[in-house]
Amino acid sequence: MQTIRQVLAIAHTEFRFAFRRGSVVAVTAIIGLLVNAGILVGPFASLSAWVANSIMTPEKIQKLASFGLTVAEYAKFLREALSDMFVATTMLAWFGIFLALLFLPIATSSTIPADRQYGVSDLLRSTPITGFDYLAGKILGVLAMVLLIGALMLGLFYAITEITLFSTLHYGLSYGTDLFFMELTLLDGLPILIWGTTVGVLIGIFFRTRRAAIFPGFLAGVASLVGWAFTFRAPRHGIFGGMTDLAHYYLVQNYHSSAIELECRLGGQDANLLNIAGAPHVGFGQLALMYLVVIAALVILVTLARLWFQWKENF
Amino acid sequence: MITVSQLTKTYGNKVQALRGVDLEIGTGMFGLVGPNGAGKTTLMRILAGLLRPTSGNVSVLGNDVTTSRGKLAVKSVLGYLPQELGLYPDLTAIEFLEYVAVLKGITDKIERKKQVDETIELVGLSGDARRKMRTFSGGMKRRVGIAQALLRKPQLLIVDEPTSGLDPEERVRLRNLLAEMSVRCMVILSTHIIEDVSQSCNDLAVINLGKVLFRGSPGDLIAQARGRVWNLITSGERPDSDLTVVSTMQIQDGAQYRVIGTPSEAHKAVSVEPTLEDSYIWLMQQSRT
Repeated sequence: MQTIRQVLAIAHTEFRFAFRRGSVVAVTAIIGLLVNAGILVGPFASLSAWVANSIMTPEKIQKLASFGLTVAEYAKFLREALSDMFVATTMLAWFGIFLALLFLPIATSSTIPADRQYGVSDLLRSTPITGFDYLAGKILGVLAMVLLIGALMLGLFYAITEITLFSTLHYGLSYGTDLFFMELTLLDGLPILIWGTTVGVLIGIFFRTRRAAIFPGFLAGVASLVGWAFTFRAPRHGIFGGMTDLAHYYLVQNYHSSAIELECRLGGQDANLLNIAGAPHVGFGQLALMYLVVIAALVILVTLARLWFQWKENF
Repeated sequence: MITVSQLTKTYGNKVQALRGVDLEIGTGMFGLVGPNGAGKTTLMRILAGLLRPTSGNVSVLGNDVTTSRGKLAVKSVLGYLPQELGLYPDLTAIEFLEYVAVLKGITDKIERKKQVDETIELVGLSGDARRKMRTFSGGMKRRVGIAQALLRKPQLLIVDEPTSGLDPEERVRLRNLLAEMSVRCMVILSTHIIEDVSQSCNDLAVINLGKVLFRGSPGDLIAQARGRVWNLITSGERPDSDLTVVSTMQIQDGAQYRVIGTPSEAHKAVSVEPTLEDSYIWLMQQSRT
């Protein structure tokens, strides 16, 4: 119990420092805004077309009837198809989240060197905490700030989207699309943010000043980005241009809506917005393996850092 | 009780900081004196469990600090003020002390607040405790350092060069505080300022080049230098080069020197009672010959 409180105390202090120093907040917020803007720009640019499509004329009603559709069914289709468009936009815009792998290590690499630079390192090490407690507290503190900003960015996305859609079209995103973005954030965004933050904090253990840790942080970021892209690369197929990873691919592959079903019914599989006909299948097993690799790699890195502390600093 | 036997420490760059140190330290206030680079800080850091010795045994309050378990046990009863003290500039003194208090294991909120308030009061920082520490003077930062060391009422207080950079008033205040603390816990004061030791320690060791040159009371050290400290007056010229000049005072007919060594009869030197500083300089001189 005492150890947990000590770890939380370190995390709490680091959380405040992360806020005051600003770099972690800035990097996370910029990446979040970039992803949000990337996803929103396409659908929002075509909002006027959706408004026009929703205006019913006798000719249009007659045409719908020839497809066996009522006006109510068409209205539902429009709403869902717009939501699907948001999902389709992530094919390119979600790439922005991978920048967190590159830039978060730079922003978080100064976490431990800061203690040495301020001269509090010896003082902290003279208290009854272990090197592991110290590392855990530092990582948790910075991570808490990253996740808070990440959550705010997701909230901002929902707020902007819903307010804009309701004010122009009088409806919001479908439930399935809301869920898709939540899952995308948790299943893909979260591991990326955890990895970027942790690697940055850990790379900092080798350096005595914040400035000295920046370039190695950048190198760790490049290695993370390349490593992630190589290890968790999604199959290249159709709209999946190889710009995403397994988790994103898995979620898009398993995304369903009644609008897509209707498009398939009327025009065949190839006609729908998220055409993944014939695409290689990514199963849950591959996704689980991805998380297992991430967790194992993080455990190995933290263990190595702990051993380094023990060997080099008797901590 | 602290027992150190055959302690050596060699850094990666082959610098031998400690060369077979044997030392026993009991209760009260113990002074560790030596010039810069003597190995004092290395010894302090080993005692505090921050540095691993190359060889030898170190037992602090019955715990072997070379083991993980022993190290944690020592740290849980330790108050440590490092030589190069730094503080988080963005925190207030209270925030910082609260933080250290939790790390020291004071998890009860009421007890923590009580101890933080008490130590702030003790070091005379009550009026400034809510200010960001970036605005603190060197002396105030030292006082915060002492305050954090006193949290959780340590059984062992290790203070490394605590008075360096302080003005005389701050130095006296700190010395008195440490002397008060030595009534209830073991205090080890490392310093190169002899006056700090002469005013507060009843037990001391002199260390140089990683070896203990003297171990005993200030009186014992003074006794060793007795008959080797002299006052002599010249018409202006400096005394023989084999004498170490401790002080020089210009007088009407020339200059009065306080010297250590064996002056020639021509100087008409008068033997004087050595101070602790004279004795220390004599000891250093002896170690070089």
